[in-house]
Amino acid sequence: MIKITNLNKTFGDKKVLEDLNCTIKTGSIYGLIGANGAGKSTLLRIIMGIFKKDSGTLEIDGQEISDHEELKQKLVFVPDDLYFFKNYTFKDMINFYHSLYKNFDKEYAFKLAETLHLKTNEKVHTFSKGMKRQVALICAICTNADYMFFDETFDGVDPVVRNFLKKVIADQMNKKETTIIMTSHNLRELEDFCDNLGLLYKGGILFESEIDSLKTNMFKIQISLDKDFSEKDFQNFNVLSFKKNGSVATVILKGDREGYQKILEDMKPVILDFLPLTLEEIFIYEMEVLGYEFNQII
Amino acid sequence: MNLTKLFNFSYFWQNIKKSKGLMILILTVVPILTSIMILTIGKNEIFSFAEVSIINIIGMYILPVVLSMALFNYIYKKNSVDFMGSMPLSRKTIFITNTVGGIGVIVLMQLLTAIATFALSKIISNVVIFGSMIWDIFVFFTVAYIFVFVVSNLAMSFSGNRFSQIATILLILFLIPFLVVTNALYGNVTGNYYDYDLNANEAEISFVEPYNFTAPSHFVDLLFGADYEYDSDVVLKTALLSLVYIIIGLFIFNRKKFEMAGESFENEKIHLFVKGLTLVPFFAVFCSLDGEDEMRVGLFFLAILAVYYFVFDLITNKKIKAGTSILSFIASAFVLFCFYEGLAGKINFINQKKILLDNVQTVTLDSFGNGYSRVFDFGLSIDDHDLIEKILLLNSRVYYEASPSVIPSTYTSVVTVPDAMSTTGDTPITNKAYHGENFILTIVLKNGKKYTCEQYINGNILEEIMNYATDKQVDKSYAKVAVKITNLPLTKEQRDEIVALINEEMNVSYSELYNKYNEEYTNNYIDLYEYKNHQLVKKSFSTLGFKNLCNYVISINNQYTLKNINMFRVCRLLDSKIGSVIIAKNPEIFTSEFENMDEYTEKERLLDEISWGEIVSYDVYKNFIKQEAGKEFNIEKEYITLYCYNPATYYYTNDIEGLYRVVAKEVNRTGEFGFRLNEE
Repeated sequence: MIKITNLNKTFGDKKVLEDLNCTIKTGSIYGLIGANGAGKSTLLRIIMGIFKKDSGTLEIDGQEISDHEELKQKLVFVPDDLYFFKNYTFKDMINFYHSLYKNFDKEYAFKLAETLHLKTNEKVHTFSKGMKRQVALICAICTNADYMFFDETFDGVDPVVRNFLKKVIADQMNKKETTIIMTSHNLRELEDFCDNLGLLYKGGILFESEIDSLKTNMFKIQISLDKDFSEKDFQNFNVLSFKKNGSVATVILKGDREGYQKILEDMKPVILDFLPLTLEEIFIYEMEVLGYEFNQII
Repeated sequence: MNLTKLFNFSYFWQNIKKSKGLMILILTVVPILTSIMILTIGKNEIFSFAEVSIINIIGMYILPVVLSMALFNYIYKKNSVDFMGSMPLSRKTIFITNTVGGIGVIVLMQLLTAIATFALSKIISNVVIFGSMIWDIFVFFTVAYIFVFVVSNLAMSFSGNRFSQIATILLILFLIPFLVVTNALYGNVTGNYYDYDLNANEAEISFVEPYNFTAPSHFVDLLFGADYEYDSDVVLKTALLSLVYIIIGLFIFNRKKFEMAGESFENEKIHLFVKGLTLVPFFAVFCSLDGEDEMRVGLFFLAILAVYYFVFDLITNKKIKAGTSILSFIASAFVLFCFYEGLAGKINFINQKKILLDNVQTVTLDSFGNGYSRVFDFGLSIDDHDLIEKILLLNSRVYYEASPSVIPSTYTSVVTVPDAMSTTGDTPITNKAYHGENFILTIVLKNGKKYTCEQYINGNILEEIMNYATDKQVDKSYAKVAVKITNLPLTKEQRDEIVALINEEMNVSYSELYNKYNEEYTNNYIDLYEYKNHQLVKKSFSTLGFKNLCNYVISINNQYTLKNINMFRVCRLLDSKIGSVIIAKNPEIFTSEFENMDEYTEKERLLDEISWGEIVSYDVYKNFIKQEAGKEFNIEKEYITLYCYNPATYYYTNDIEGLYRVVAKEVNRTGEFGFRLNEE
């Protein structure tokens, strides 16, 4: 488990992280979203020990993160801006990781490379952007690290390979209780993969929750009654949004879905449809409740 | 701290592998270029420390910096910082691995250089490089390169890009030595300064301590013409300072803010501070300028500063920051300079030592290699108390003042002569007391301490020293010696033979050797080289002092002249004088004299006339020399010398009559001087 308490980081006069608190459970896939400059990459770099924190505590498995090699064996990081040694082939990179990570699975790396049709004898700098990311992800996955940090993970990777790599990461999680932390400014990318989400805004976690509970606790209905009705008729519900168009209203509700459904059916509606909410919509409404406009945050 | 645990070989190997081309270049450039240099200029050469080290000296300021930048090259870019920083390596491991590994590369490079140099000195017979000197070069430059390397690592810990790193390296390496030297120049406090107290039984000697900086800062000395040589104090100091810089570098690297990758320094304050420091040398130079038009110089200087202010930012930060900080920049630099000037004023470079005569064990004289005083190069050690007293105290009217333009070991002597007499000018000085020479005195105390200073020994005391040396045998206790005769390439066998002859014949006292000197017309000086106490010592003497040696050296000369006879484009009589060796008059004295030309015979007149110019074609002399092939030369008979060029060499012949006939015939043919050969 990763536990972050009151983490602060300043670049010159600019506060990048401010009293950040966050807990990431072991074995989870944690999606970290936020606008550019929100502090996502900085947070990952501090966890990796690349940057030094100014204050606060940062623990992994109860151990304070420091410049500790044994602990760093458990962590692997794929940054957004990739780097490879000049003139190194994919094979050289695999050997490089193998020489530093004790649990690196070299065979698996070559197998994945073969599956993705990546030539291991070719120099990495000749690869396309998407191929370079595949190289970085394969190297990272094969380290068998307990904690994997991916910054803007699938940037430039085509959908087929993206799905394949997601599957590989999921397999990795099943094989070993790996914890994945991914950042993105694109909610849709994280939606179908992460089980937890945290929204980073102005250096702090503004909001975090499990995606499943978000999706089950919040839902959208379209309803029409055999009488004229308004938002007042829904006083017993936790209404996040109410929009009426003619005789049909679209309502976003937060609460126990089964309980709400029973009450709604008792109202004898002419139309009652439960519609799925996208993660983006969930976030928009949650942010509105908190007094933020989602579009300004992401 | 467990160093073996902190050295990660896998990481180091990968780090080397990723820049293998550069690493091969770093490892081989000095050995290869040094070998080429030795092969190119190595003929008949006895290499000094500086000569063998030319490539090493240049490389010292480039290769360790490049090595440091190659090993730590990930720190300059944000994406490489992310990559390396995320690897399972602690900062300590990265720093220690690269530092220790880099030192290993330097040691290997210096080892290759030493092996190549040693091999060449063994394989090529006319290249003489002392083995002990190669060892000294290995030690000196290994330490020097390591020092520049750790300074580069320290600068890297401070800075965020290559340009700011280079600025920091230059400041660490040169700022203090440069300021001390410019300050010394400013105050004319340079070289050694001696002042002998006339107190009854003690000599107070004031030394200016040599500017004993680190090995790379010797560059500052080189600018002022000093020799580059091994100095064990410098080596020790450089090694210790390297260790200190490694520790400081590690401390800073551990706390380095990698988010500044690509920027000049961690923050604007440090940037401004470093920038201010880089300006201090400008102030120092400005203050040491002794110009008349100070206003114009000052304005010009300010203009340079203004340009520099922007250029520095442009280079180190790739952007120009204008605004009010220019004032704070100049103000801070000025404050720093004033602080330095104030501090420098308090530093006394003169280190005074009082030496009690009773504590002096021996005094040894070393000449500057000129005149008769060369006899002392053979190590005359004086242990006579009265004579020591005379040398150190009674000689005390003489003072030395170092030349302000030369640092630290070349001096101009000024002899203070009483009674308004002058050593210069038209009035000849007949008093023997002022016909002396400069010597380097080595004073060894009974407790083993050694002091070296420069002294003028007047003629009277020199005479007393020679009297003292009458029964002192010339010291031949050299372990390994190399022989050189100017312009004459020697084979190993010839060198060995010369050394054997010296050992055989040089069984003389210092006084005898002194008396044997006659440098006026001898062209067969032998230079004996010895690498002793980390210095290449040269002892010169004339072969004319020794019959067999002289004959042997002349025979080599003659063989060489004959061998190269077709190459010469100049060939003439050296002079008209006919030499003969006085041996019959006094068997103890084997020296040469030349015929008195006051009353010319016809032969002498002709030889004299033609020796003044190229009256006779050089082919005539060349043909004469060719005809001489196979003839033996005997120093005990009359002889005459021919000079050939290029390469410069001398040909000695006893056949004066034969030569006379050849040239007379030629002159007779051309009708020069209206000369007609008697036979015709």
